[in-house]
Amino acid sequence: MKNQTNGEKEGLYYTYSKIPLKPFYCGEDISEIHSTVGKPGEYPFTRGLYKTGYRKFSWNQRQLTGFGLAGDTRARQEFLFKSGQKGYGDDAALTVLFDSPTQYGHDSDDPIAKGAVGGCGVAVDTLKDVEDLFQGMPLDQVSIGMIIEGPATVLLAMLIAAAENQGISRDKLRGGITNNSLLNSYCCKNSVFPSSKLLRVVVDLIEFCSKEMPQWNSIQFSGYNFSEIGAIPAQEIAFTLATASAVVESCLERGLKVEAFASRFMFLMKMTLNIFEEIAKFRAGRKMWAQIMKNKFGATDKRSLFFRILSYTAGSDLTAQEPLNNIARVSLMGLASVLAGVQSLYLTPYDEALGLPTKTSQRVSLKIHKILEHEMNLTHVADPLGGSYYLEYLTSEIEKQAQKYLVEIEELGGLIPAIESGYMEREATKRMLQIQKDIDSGKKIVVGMNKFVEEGAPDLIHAHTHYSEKERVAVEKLKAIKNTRDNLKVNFCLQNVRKAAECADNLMYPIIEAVKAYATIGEIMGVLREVFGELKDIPILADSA
Amino acid sequence: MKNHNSRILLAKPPFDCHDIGAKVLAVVLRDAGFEVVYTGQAKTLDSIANAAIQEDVALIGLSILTDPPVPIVKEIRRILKENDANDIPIVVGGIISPNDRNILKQRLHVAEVFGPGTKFDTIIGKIRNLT
Repeated sequence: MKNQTNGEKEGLYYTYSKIPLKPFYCGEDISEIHSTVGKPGEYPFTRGLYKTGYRKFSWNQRQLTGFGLAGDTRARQEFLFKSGQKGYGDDAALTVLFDSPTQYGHDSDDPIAKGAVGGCGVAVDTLKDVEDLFQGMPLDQVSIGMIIEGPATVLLAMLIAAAENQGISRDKLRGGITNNSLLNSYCCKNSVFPSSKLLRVVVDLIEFCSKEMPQWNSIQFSGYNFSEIGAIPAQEIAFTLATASAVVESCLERGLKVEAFASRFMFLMKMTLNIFEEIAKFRAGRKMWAQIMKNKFGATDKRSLFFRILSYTAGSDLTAQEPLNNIARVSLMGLASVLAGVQSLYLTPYDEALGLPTKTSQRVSLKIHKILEHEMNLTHVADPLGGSYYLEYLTSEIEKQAQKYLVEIEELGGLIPAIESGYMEREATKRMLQIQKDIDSGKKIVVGMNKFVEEGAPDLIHAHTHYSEKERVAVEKLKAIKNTRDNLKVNFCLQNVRKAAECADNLMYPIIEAVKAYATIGEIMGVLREVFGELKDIPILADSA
Repeated sequence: MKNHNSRILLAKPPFDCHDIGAKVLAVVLRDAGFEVVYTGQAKTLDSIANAAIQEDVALIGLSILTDPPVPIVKEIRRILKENDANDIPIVVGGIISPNDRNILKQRLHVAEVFGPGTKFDTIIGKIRNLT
């Protein structure tokens, strides 16, 4: 953006992150960094993880899906498979979103869940719901993604139990779970437990997977949510890396070897329309993580150094006004992600600002993937933007900015003290206030919303409809399960969950036994909340600008 | 019922973490001279209604993005009615479909529904008129 006071005379221009910009860049601007940039597939992987880029495998092409009850979501998954949703290469794949009560560890019959059951994701209360969610789907033949933070242990346990009921052992399961409670504790706040307890719960899951599930991604550090509340690219990277480093330390403290878990980390990062800075951010992330893993933690196995990226195209860059314009926005962000060499890409549906995605909008997103993959000759050469004077300059600048934030976190006493001090939220909230004021005043142009606005009727878009009778059905289903299960066994299992929580035993084992007995999410999380306490949302408001 | 005409409650329902709008508006309204009580993500829908009554507010502003707005507003109205506080005007902001907008305004007597892109000055002006 232009510096409004000096811009006209002095020609001072800046990026969104306030990095100063020249009118153009050339060799001498990157002469110092040029020699360090390297090649795709070579440490520190600035230019990409793989020498062959996308020649062997395309990126993952999944739509995040979940609504209503298990059957509704199951049917939508079939539609998505037919529309071209897939994992690496031609692998079948899907990713599930859970409803609010499930995300926060409550059951559909909990009074607090009133009005929210099946609203923003699929309602899951017991193992039966997960079995229904994957009805008829052989779980060793699909890569399963699950977006869930506080109750991640419970959902993973349910998946394991559902697979075992299909005769499939847990080590055959492929996919991943976000388990992103740490970063979400100051953004979405669906971490359930207080900050001081999160490392324990998060690492229990990672430790369990390192021993029992070699093909499962045990955590997806997500800078996306933090970026959505106002963080700049360098902050998104820095706080994501700080979180990941804290988790590595915690794993090592438990005696795990770095090779046992690090290759199963993923990083869910935001892509916006500010594409050059975002691509630079991804590159800086790859470089910094590889260096942290090698120099700080002594990892030698190549895969332990990989900053594997799921690029999540920004919901906040889309508009409710003229939603068809969002197809262009998402396509451009998708292109930038592919040029950046990401492993997985989520193309936000064009009706994101209107409600849950419809079949049409999800299908359009999947077709954008196919156009990127098959019509643009993008997959033949790795890192096509490598060596761009501007991009290499930006990558280096973002890395420098991110390093400063890493130092600030250290000065605050490390990750958990920094989170508890409110520092992260305060930083982001301050910036977001200014951004919203700039949009309100028209200084920041949003096409179709505050400039180039259509008078008259908006685009006619069919938005997803929510049926509140789903809540009644879910409550009845739950009642039936509670009446037919062995309630003595459930109580016994819950006692074991409590015992494990009170000492240092890994929570996954007793939770798996509990879900097999059809204990509910609310019951299991209820026990854990009693032992660990509960995360409170204490909002931090910005001062006036 | 005597209300402080400049005190307003801004609330988000349980589980609703999409709080940029509410947090920004809390500051904007504060700067415009209102006394703003912002609950963050409320623990329960009850607590929103109870806070409005205890704080003796002139208006309730609900920011609803994650889950459907009609059941939420319906429940809050019910609790307010139970406590003889159903005269506190309610305004709603967030992701509201045209259909839901009609239900909120016609059946649930929501005074204003502010969709995405509504200007701050518009919101301030309309809230002033209601308080």
